[in-house]
Amino acid sequence: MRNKKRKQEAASAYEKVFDALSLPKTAAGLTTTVTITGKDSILVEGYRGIIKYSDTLVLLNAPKYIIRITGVDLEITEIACEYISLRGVIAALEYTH
Amino acid sequence: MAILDILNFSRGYVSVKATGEHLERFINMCTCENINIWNVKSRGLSTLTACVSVKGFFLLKNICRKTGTKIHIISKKGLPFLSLRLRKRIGLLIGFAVFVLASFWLFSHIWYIDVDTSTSIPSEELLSQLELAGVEKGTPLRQIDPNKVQARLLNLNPRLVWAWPHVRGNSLYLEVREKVSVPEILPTNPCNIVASHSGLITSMLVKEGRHVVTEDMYVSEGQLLVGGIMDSVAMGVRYVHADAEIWATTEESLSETFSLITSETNRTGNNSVRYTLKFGNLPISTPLIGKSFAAYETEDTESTFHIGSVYFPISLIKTEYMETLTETVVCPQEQIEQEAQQYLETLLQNSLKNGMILEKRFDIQKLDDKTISVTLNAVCSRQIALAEPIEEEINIGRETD
Repeated sequence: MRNKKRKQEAASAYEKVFDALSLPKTAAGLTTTVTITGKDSILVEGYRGIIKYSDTLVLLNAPKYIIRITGVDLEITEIACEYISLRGVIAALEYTH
Repeated sequence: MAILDILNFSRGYVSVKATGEHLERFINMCTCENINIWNVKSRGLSTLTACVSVKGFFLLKNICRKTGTKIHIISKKGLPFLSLRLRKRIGLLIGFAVFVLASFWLFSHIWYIDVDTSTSIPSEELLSQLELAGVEKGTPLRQIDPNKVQARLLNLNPRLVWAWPHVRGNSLYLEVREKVSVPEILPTNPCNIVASHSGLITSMLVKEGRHVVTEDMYVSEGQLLVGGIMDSVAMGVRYVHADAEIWATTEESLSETFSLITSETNRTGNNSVRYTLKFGNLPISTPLIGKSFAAYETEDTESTFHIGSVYFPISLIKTEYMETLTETVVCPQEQIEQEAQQYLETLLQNSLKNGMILEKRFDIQKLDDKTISVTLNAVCSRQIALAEPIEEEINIGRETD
């Protein structure tokens, strides 16, 4: 619990430094970049892992929040440590804490 | 995406079915271990299918053990698996190797040559000179150095000022520029204008020199028309190059004898054909289809095999042999008379250059059974100005007369 709190404080300090220097937060992995192309393709950069995967729901772990993607026939076209690319009929994209 | 697919196909990959309770963890661990995994599709609550690289597939064992996932191979795809299946089919492999080599050989040579036809230089001349410069059908592309070809062509053809061979695939287009001739420098040597023919002057336009005659005057051949010596109080005596356009009505006469006996070569209508299949410079001919003739004319039709603008060194030549017969015939006098009149008229018209025939009359005389004589008497309108260099003593004498 204490470790988690320390980590959160460190991240917050990093964020303040990046804000002060006007540096992009994605470079430090402090935030994610979501690119939606049309309504059938989505690319999430800077995610931390998959929490839940099915053909109608994908939950992705991201710094500070969880990305919830709902749709139909969702398929992972490409996946790597830094990014995940999904294809299918996207219905909604939500950020939850 | 297509490039990635080609890359994956060339490396080979395995399509797998993963079954387990912790599939998300399985995917996360795959990404952490840098296992190349793609096209992940959910097939229910505890099943998914995915494509994994061959190298990555062997690393899945540990992950499967840790996550309790079972892996089943659905199919093996890609070049390594395909080559394993086809390795026993030697003929296919040899055929593929021959195809690759033949393609490489065909695409590394020139098989079609086109030349610039916008100049007055005939295409055949340019093609033959290009051949002398070392470029012909079948020349390897690596041997064509445009700078060298250009230098050789300019040496071979003095009419060219620039040439450049454009290589497009296995076709070559020769672009050329012709020299523009230097404009003719007008002569400045002193001269008179004299009459080239006897006749009645109808019009005169004197550009330089002194009028000696006027319109409606009859002049005889060699008579001075425009003088090249100008004399005035202000300038004194000076010599000029007299220049004038003088038109006159002249009388012309042309006579020629014509034979009634002529030889005619006609096609009999009997034809034979020979087909030749040409691979590069190697011709393979079929036997003659039809009879062989003692005297004949030939006509060649060549069609080169091509797909779009890619030409191959394979062509089919159809050679048609047409039998001919030469006969000696006595033509009707009327026909020869007509031809003779036309011939003499053309001859006279050519000698008149820009002039024209105003009146004409033909006199026909039969010399013997096989020969006739045709005389053309005509009244023409023609230019009679002829430049004659001034020989000082003579011309001064003529002008003072």
